Amino acid sequence: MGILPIQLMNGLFAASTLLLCSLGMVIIFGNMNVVNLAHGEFIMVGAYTAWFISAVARLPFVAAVAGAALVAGLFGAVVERVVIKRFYQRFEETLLATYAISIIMTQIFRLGFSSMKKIVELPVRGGFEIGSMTFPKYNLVIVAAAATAVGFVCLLFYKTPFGRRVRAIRQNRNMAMCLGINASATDTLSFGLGCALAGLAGAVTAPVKIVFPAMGASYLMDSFSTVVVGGVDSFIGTAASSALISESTSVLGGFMSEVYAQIIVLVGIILILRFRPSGLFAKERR
Amino acid sequence: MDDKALLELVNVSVDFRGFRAVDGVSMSVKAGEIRTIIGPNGAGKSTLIDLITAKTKLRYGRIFFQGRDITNRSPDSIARIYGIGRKFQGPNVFGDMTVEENLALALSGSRGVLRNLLRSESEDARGAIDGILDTIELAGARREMVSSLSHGEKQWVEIGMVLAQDAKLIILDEPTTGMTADETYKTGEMIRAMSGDRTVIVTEHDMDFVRQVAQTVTVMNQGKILAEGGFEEISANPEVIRVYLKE
Amino acid sequence: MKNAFRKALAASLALALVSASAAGCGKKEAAGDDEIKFGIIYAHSGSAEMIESVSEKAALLAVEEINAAGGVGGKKLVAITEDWESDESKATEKAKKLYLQDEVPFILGTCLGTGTQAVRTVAEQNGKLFFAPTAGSGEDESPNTIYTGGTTYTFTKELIPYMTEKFGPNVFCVGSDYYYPVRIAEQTKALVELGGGNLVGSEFLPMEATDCSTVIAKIKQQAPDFIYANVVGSTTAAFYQQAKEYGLDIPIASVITSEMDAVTMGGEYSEGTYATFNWFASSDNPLSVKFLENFEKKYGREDMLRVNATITAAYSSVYLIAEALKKAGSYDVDSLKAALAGTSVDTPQGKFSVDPENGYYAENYAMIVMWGADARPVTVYESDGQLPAEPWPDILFPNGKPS
Repeated sequence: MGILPIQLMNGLFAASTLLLCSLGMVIIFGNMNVVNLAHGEFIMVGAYTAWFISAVARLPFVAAVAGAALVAGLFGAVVERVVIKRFYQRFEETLLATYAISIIMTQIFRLGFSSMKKIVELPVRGGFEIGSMTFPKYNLVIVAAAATAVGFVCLLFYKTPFGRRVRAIRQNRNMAMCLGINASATDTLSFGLGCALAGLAGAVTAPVKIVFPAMGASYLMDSFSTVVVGGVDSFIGTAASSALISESTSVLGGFMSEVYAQIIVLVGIILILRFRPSGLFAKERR
Repeated sequence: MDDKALLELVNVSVDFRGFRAVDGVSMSVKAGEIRTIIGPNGAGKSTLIDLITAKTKLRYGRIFFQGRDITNRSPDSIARIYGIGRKFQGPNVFGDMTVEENLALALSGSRGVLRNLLRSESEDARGAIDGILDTIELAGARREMVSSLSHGEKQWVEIGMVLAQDAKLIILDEPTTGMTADETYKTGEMIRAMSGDRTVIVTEHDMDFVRQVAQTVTVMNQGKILAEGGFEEISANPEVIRVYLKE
Repeated sequence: MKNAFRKALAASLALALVSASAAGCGKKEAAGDDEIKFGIIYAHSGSAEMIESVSEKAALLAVEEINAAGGVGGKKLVAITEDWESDESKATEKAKKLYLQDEVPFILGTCLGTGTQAVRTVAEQNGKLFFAPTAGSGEDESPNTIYTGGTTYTFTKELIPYMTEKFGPNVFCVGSDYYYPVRIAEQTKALVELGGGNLVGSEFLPMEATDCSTVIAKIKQQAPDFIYANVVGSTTAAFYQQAKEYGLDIPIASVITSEMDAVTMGGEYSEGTYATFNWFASSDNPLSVKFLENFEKKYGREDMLRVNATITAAYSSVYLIAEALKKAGSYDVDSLKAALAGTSVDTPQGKFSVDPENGYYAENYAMIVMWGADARPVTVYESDGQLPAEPWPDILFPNGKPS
């Protein structure tokens, strides 16, 4: 069997991971216009929570995932209340503030858990076969988690009053408030939600990644470029750009050095943004 | 004080850096009526509305709503607690949402954030939205993006949003600006339809429109009330003709 | 505006505070006549922290033991410790501070290549000595730098015949994408071809990559007899784990994977794979057993389980330096270097000496281990005595060091 079908499958798995890790950023960047430079650190919080619940407290992995989303979400809501809400509409200052938060979080976890890398055990072991190809069963869990998470946020943002309010505030904050919408509570909730999704991603991907305080940095760039290519506030766009980026990296990587494959994909991202600066799936703005 | 009055302004004044924008205005609006406020630019119409909705704090005088003193309350309590809804000049709508969603937003605005996090619309709410869509004649466009509507239709969506807030008093600030003659006429009919169980205050320039909707017309000039009365009475008033002809 | 400025200032102050507290403080001690000052540079944050913070503990343990036993010729060793934060510009800065301001004649430290290179350059510029307890990849030497971990070529040269005999001659090299694994792959190619085998593939992963599915697919395509995996950082655990999960049923060996990695990833994924170096915790050398005991007593079991060859080399190096100082009688650079030439000392890693003829790389024993289910090594092979350091492998450089 050739390498192409294997790499197409590997690309799908990588895309699911990328999508899962980017969703929280779509909410916070796309809807609140805050580039959360601590996004990776919220993933790290989720991963540590998952590690703590599964490896230390020895509870089932489902509890670890739920706990991670909860802890990261609550923590995000607190951070929003204490820090972020003072900086809305001031883009540069949110960058500085979230950068500071990312460093503080990394240091806190270094002091609390040391820099030693932690492993979260795979809750589902072994491989499954498609023809002569073998893939880890856990990859299916990641695909399912990513699909569920996207479905959830799409429903939440386009089918519920809460989502409608978030979109209304994004479009015209003052007017939304004139309608009696409590914008600041909605902000806290959506920032917390973005962080909860980051925490969820951290927990679900923890068993295939390595958990350590500085792990967030690698997630940040990947998520950021995915969200920007996808069109900043579009969930479907982010799903499409995750697939595009991961499939091209995997397929190219199958036929050349993975380092070169990454470089080519990065150049591709730059070209896309050169010709579609607001991303592939940006909505037309008035 | 007039007991039947829904809104009562008593000797209301405000000045901006020495310039008296509203000067000793007393006015009484009965429940269920349509009150039109006209006057040349700078006459103080919008400022008067800002005072009623507490967007601007007044210096002298008092404002009563249903007999209760609402002088200088906060704007959101004016909107939420007392039920005074206001449509600003120019369409203020959410373009990236459907007509229906715009109305639903206005309808659910005052509900708590957590309470409707995941809940979808109730039957009551859906019925209310259907009713408003009929009133603003956009039932056929309910699923269309507001950004794709005409200017006039956007104004109607906004009127619909004010209606959705279930206000006792609706204040419309120049609602027909930029509308075609046909649209202006339709807007007039809408306003007539919505009065009765609601009270409406409209500021306007277009005299045809005023003739169409007006019951009582208040004419303002230089921050003061120049005249008040029925349309025929007002349009025969030489003072009013002078002010308008000068313009 | 003023408010905005104040907030920006507050944020940057918070930043500065955080980095200052992370940086830690180098302690400076006045040295009397009865003291021998030297510098220790290890990272206490960043990518090198995991291994280097433990290395520093090992070096300080050796200093403590030597001083407890009367010091060097009646003088106490005093280590001035600095943190380079895994940042090469910091490494340069700290090395300059130690050599020029504290006037130490030599520095011990660094494991990560970037730090080693930075300190090495400062040592050369200032005519000072630098002991790097890490294995060099070879093909490179500095008169001022002593690589007390030897050269990786030494171990690869022992490993390839062992693995070839056991599993077959065709090998696939996987590495992280930097000079060290790249050079190891070149040396491996020459060595397997010497034994009639082939390097059937060679792939390098981006640093810190944790998705190894592509390289695993490529390995399956080539179906080598064994894999020589020299990945670092987060990639290590990811690669071993995914090799199992993707059903890659091919033996794996490494010259980089150590106790540190095995403990991190757990026995489940390291079990049954091979590693080679000059020392493993399975060494039955009495000094090695004693060293691990003392280390555990002082720093606890968790740190002891992580002790690997590089960490042990930090410990052994202090003993080598002490012996050379004793012989030199003074501690200026020239006499110390001269004294190092014939110095040999017994350490946990066996007889320990450096070879001035071979770029001052340490001469080493070689061990091959197989990781057990408990993530501890089991010795499967030991070299016959000390092996010469070969910074310029003769199969790649038949005429010796190029001029």
